[in-house]
Amino acid sequence: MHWSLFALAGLGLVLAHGLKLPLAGSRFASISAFMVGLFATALAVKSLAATNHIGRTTDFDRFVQAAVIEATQDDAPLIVFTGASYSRNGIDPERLTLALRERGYPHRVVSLSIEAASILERDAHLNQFIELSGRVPDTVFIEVARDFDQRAAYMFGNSKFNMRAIEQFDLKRAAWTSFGILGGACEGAKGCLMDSAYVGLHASLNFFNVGLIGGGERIFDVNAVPAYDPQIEARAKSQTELALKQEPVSIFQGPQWVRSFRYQQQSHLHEKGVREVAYYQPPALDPTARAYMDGLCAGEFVEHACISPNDPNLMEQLNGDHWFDPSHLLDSGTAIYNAWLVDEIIASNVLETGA
Amino acid sequence: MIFTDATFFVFLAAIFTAYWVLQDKEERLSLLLVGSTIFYGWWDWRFLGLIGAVILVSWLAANFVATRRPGDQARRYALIAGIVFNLSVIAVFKYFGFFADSARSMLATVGVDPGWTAMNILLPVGISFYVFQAISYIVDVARGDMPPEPRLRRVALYIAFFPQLVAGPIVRASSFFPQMERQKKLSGALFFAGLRAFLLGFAYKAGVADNLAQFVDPIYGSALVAGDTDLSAWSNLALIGGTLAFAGLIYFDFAGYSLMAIGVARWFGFYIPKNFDFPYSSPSIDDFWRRWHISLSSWLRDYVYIPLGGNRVSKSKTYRNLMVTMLLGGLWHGAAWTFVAWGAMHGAALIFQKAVFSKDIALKFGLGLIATQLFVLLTWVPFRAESFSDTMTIWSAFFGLRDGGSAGLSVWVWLVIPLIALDALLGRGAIKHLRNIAVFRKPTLYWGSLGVLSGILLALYPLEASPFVYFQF
Repeated sequence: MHWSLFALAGLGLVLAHGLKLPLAGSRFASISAFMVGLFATALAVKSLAATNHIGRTTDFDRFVQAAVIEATQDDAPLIVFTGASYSRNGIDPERLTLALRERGYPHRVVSLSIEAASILERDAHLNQFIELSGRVPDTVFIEVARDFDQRAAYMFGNSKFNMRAIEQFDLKRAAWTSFGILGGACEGAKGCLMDSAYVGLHASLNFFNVGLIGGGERIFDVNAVPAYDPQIEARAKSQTELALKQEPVSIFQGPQWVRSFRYQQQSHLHEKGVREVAYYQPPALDPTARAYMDGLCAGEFVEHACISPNDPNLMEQLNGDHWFDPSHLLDSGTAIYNAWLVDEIIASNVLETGA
Repeated sequence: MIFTDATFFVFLAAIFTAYWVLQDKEERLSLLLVGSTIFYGWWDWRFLGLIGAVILVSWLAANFVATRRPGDQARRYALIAGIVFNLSVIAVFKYFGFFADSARSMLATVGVDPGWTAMNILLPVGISFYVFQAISYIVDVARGDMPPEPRLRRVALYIAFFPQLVAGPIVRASSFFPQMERQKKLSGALFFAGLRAFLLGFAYKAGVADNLAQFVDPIYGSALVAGDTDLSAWSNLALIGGTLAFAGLIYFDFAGYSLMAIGVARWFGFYIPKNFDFPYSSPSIDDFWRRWHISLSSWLRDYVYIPLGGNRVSKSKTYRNLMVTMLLGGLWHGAAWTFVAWGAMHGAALIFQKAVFSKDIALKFGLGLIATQLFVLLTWVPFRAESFSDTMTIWSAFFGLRDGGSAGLSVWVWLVIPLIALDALLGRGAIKHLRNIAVFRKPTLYWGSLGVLSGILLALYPLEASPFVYFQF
């Protein structure tokens, strides 16, 4: 809630009361005047919102706020994990921080992960976290998953026309997503057309600030909610023996659009002072999903720390009642995975200079 | 499907286009009836049968009444049967649970367990509005204010006309039926008149009311969830601020809906009279009731107050008539004693005003305005509170009789006062001058302003829209 809401409402009332039947005039001039009024207002509202740090509040903002509170407790070097639901269930920052400290690493782990978060949405919230906390992470771990690489507008499979969907498609991110769709990161001709249409619609809604002031909030005023969402009971029966299955691995690079995005993201993070950018994937029962990550680690991410869960040792431990569903871990599974992950982080030497 | 929903805009565009493509008057009316059926069925198709029964019985009753001479016993019975049927529909669906619960509580106080449990009957949306319209039709025919309508579909369209079906304004049969006769023509004047009303209503609802809910719900609880309030933590200022926000919310929400209904009806060539006339600028309670929910207060005046004798009887009977009318008005708003109390307070205020202030001892405008609006504000408390206990807590906050908690509301809530004042100023005074400024009607300025207004409304549009408050009545 902000004074700008009342100011705009007041101006809206003045105009709505004032409009009367217009005199006849040139159609071109009328349409031009309407468009100028509409676009100028859209830009003015954007500027007003940016100046006052107003955004459409989503759960992701709440997670960022919780991470900011965590990160500003002390000066410990920060490790940020950012991902989608796989990480929301599979990364427990407290466990990881504790395990690292037991091993002599002073780092603090925070998680910025939410269901169906595209790589673009995660990037935006990572930047928001850095801006709000005033702290630059030592290391950023970026979740990689085949679903998101191969469908640029993955979110539309889950939800549309809500705060989160609209908020993430500013012009820059809409352009990146369109680049992905044009590069084939979508499912079939019909799927590509639908994704393109949705991107266009959401980008328009974003450009014209739909719900920005009415449903928005100052980002400093957002309630903090931790991202980690431990699950105790399975929601679906899983074929856990798939954990033991291994697919042949081939070395490859991610699709062009996502590689380009990751490249500019790395440069941007390094410019901000992030020392290391690393990649990881939480475990999944689908062996092809794990093999995908193996392939990327050996290919595109060969020069980065890259932690694939396709380790028979880990997967053997996870062959049991540790799965919320075939792609997400229960809390017991997270405990196993996180213990393994700490070993892998240390083994990757990614923290050496920061420790 | 609510007026601020994307679904409604698609529905409206389809009906509007088809309506004006059709040339035949009867075909247009049939299309509106089909559209109204879809609109109502969208809420809950199961209640189409109920509204159908209301239409059929009202049509039969009015036709029967019209065939008999005044004074005929059968005519009298048909009139009563038509009214009783409509009232029993509302009694069963809206008040049965309330009266059963009240009776059970009363019996419990004298140690009797009646052995029945409360029944949750689903409240059909708009029932209070369309039942009143149905009664208006039967009574208007019986009074000879209008002839009976032989065509059932016209009666159906009058009762179920989608722009005002679910939350009014309550339209009189005698004003609506002649409009069905006229051949309508789409013109710029008609379109822009509809657009103006719709946009102002949209600004009220989506721009203001929905955004005030965030101040009201934390205090009073969500209107949709019973029993979720805990007032103890709130400071006195927060309770007052929350009530003030509710005063703004209910006005902008309901007046917004009414304006949108008027605008939509206008697009189809129908004229629906205004339902609100800046009631928060009223210097007295009777003036307030001439400006607040005008279609209901005039309905109650014409079908309850005047038939009871109005003010052409003794003073004491006039007061009784006022109180009965306002109690019914309170009960109309909801099946709860808090609504009855709200009606009783307004009835008492009207009686007090009539008894104490004669024409030559009128309150000065400023003092009257403050006293009236303070009273109206205080009476919104039982109207919105979940219980009398919550009402007492909030009233205590108003008079500083309570040790407040520490929780506060955003300071911006107080901006609702200038917003209401601005609206009244624009509506009652300043705007007349504004509209007369020739430059404001210049096409480029009009369209530029429309562009700016559209940009503002999009930014204010709440994606998680709240239903209209009056739908629950």
